[in-house]
Amino acid sequence: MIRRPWQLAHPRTAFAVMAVFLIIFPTLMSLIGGDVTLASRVLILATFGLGVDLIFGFTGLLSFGQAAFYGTGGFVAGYLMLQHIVPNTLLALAIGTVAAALCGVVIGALSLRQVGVYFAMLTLAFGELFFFLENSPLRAFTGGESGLPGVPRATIPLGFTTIDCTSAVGTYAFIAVIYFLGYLLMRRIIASPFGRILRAILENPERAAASGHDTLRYKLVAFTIAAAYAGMAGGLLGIFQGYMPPDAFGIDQSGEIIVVTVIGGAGTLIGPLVGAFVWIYLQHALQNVAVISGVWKLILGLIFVALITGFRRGIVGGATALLRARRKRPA
Amino acid sequence: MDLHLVAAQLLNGVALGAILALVALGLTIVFGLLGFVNFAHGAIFTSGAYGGWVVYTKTGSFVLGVATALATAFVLGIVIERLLIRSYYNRPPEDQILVTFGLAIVIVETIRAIFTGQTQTFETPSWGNGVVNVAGIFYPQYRLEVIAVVAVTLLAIYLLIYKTRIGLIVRAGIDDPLVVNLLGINVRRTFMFVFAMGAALAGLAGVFDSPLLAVNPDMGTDVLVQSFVVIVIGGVGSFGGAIVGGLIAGEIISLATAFIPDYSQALLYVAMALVLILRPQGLFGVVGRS
Amino acid sequence: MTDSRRSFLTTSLGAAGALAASGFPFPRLTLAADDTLFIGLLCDQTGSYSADGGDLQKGYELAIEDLNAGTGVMGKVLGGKKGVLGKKITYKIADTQTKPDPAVQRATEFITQDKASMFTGGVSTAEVIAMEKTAQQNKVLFMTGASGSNDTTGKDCQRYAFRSQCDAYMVSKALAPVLAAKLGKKRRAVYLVPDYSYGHSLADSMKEFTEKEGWTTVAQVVAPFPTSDYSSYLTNIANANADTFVNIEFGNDGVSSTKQAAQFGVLKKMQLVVPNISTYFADGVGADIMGGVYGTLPWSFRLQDRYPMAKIFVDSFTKKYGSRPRWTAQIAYDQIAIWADACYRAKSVASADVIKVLEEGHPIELSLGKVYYRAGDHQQVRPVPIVLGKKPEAMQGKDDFFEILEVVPGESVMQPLNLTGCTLPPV
Repeated sequence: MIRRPWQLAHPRTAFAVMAVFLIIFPTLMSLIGGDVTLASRVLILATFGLGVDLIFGFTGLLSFGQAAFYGTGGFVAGYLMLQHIVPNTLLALAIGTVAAALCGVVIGALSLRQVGVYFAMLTLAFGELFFFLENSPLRAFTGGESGLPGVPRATIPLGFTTIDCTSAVGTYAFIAVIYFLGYLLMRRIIASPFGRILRAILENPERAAASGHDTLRYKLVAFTIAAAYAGMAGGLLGIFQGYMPPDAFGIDQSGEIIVVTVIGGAGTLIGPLVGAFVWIYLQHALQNVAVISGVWKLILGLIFVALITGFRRGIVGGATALLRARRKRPA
Repeated sequence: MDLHLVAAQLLNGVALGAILALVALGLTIVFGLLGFVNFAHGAIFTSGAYGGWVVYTKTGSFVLGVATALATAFVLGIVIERLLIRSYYNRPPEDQILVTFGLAIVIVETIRAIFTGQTQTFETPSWGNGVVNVAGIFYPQYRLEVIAVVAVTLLAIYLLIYKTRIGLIVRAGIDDPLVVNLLGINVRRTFMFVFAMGAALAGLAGVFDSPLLAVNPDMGTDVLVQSFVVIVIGGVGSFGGAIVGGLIAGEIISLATAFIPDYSQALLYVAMALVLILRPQGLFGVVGRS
Repeated sequence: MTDSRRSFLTTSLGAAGALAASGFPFPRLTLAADDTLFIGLLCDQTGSYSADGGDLQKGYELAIEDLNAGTGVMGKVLGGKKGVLGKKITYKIADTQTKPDPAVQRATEFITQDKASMFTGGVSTAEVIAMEKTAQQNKVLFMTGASGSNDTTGKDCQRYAFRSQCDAYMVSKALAPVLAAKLGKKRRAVYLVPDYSYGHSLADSMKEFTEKEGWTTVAQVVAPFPTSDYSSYLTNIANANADTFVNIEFGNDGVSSTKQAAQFGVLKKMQLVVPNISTYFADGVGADIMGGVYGTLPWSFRLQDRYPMAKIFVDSFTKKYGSRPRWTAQIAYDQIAIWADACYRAKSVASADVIKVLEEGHPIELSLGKVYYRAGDHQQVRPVPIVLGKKPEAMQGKDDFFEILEVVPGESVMQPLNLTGCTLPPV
């Protein structure tokens, strides 16, 4: 889809703008009829989307099974915290992330030899397999159909004191900091030589391989990183909701994160953030309006199709192109 | 080991397999002939089911219902192809997947908006009611009739593609569009016809499958995933592959339920993954086709 | 104008146009009025249990209407007082889609954004258990909708949740002796079980109590929840060498599995028992199948002959909706009634105060006679009606599917507290 990598803005501007945005985001939300919990939800999806953007927007891998890692990270972290095996929030999240990354290595190793449709179908199959595992054999750990209710809210023990993030605002701050760090890290990855090779693979896989790069290995690393981000996001979901839902593993979740990334703009890194905002806000705003409460998905579906067909960079791409055209700056 | 139970499950596997083969047929035709992956296949299946349901409940005629389902799906296929798919044949597979995936959302949500998310009942037609005694195994008559329907449909499609002039044009148009064009034949229209045919088959499967399933807007998701399993196992673009893949999938589900019921669903995905890893072209597919 | 700009503009204009045309409610800041109380309603409007969810919703809406007007059963219970402690009740309804995640999300929104005093609903145990935890975490009272698993007031019990439906233990303990008396003591039963907490709970309890009566459990066939095609499971069941088919499936799954069972000839060979019959089960399978089937209903409109409040409830419901209420409507209505009554007794709507009153267990006369909550696990002590499906000829009215064989008193079938596995967390 995105056959020409996108030029990212200057790092220092980007970080400053992002930091400011994250600080005012909850207030912004309240002004338009949302609240801080919606803002948290958006950031969780955005974290998930950072990984998806890496493999899809920058490497061209369309995976329909990312929910497998989202769910794995969430359930591992959630279970550890719930059962007081690892009461330390950050440590539990880290373990969940690692678990998700390991799954990423395994599934990636099995799937990445295929490309295009076969890769998509393979990841789909694995995603469904994970969903089934959550529901049945591992029911004792995952709660099966009911999921894991009662995941504790975040706290950060620092030895001499504990930072309490249990309030809605505290939870948001916790998630926002993690998202910000994730964003920073991802930008570094994209800008690094490793990232450049990924973009080369996106642009022209044969040429990249011919240049002597072991494209399979690069894809695998990228896929694992994406799995890690998904796992972290899943862990955050559990903390935020105080509940880890079985839907986190579902095919709908895998589809949702793709739609969100594309609508926001694949290959832009902040695309998932924008897409998540549109998705969640529209759903929230319309859900209590009687006649059209179900229509938000239809509207977003139409926008999605329009964007893929006509305008590939999503909302972010569109906005930036407008800005550029206006300032007549060379691309 | 209860032989009677095994025999019963084997029969059930055939019936299930026939249904799966019917559903996957439309997908494999489009994938095999056009090299195009239609992620909206499940949504078109659902459209056929609803089209058939509306007419069937209003008129009580199953035949009219089937006709409506076919027409709905066929027209939907044409519309989609002309408006959208046409511009995607030369785009990378990811774009094709994404646009059909998006279309699926649009179609499903439209259905939901019109019919609400409530599950509807699709009564088994009167000629399908009853239990048949197959060598000591009691089996629903309707399911056996569906096996017959599937067989007839497969035969009809086979004859169409391989024994008629239209079929010849289709196959030639796919093998070498330039030459066919030079011969004065409208290749684009051929492609559209193939796509619409694939859609019509999905709709047909939708209406025949409805008495056996819960009719609701989301019924296509499982169907889509199962169709993928079937064509992966059987091999993309192969008729025999769709049939064999369907039968294998059906038997996996049935026999697994007989012996390890807890894992019957999972086995299907494991089988799919194994095939994709070890022999991606499936049992009957040809390497190099898309 | 460049191509990219044009396409972007067209897309966004198109989207904006679509939004505007759809009547997008560009949000305004609304402040909660001080003389109202907000209740959050979580109903399954779509999904496998949507029919029961619809009935649930009707019960809630009637209850709140009666509560604000001082009429109906509510008027009788509260002595004609309007509202709760002088405040009018407002509410919103959320569709849980018969899934726990939307239920939890919307419930949390009701709590954090709408400042709900109480929330209620859910038809599947999965949703209810998840919402119980939400209630406990946010310290807001949750009156359960329908939920039949033992776990709801067992290992998943919560201080901030109260469950009114009879649990699997009560159902089985009440039903098994009747089954043994009517069908005999030496029967061989095969089960169809939905693969989640409620399914396993009810199957295990039925197994326990029927085996006490001398029955043999031949097999328990487990199907994923939800399922639409039961063919492979029914093939197992048809070949199971049993004479009784116990169907634990509920809602749409219950209807599909039973109809398909008929298609597989299972119902010709075996007696059907449905331990917990969902609200529109009989309508879905038809009276031909339903006739002669044994089971329980948490409530039936036929109880209006036995309980005066039930008569008032049936009359006011029929007047408002044009059809008689089913048991999820009764649960919905009565949960609101019990809550309102407790608020008056506590002279407060704060969840902690209301919980204290509910735990005191004052019996309150409603559509099932006098009911009250047991403090140890928050399970309602209430009767279990045993029913038998009527043959089509015997029906007096198109929803008159059942005759009531017996109404087993609640006290006699409650699960002993030490066996429930419930430890209530602190307030």
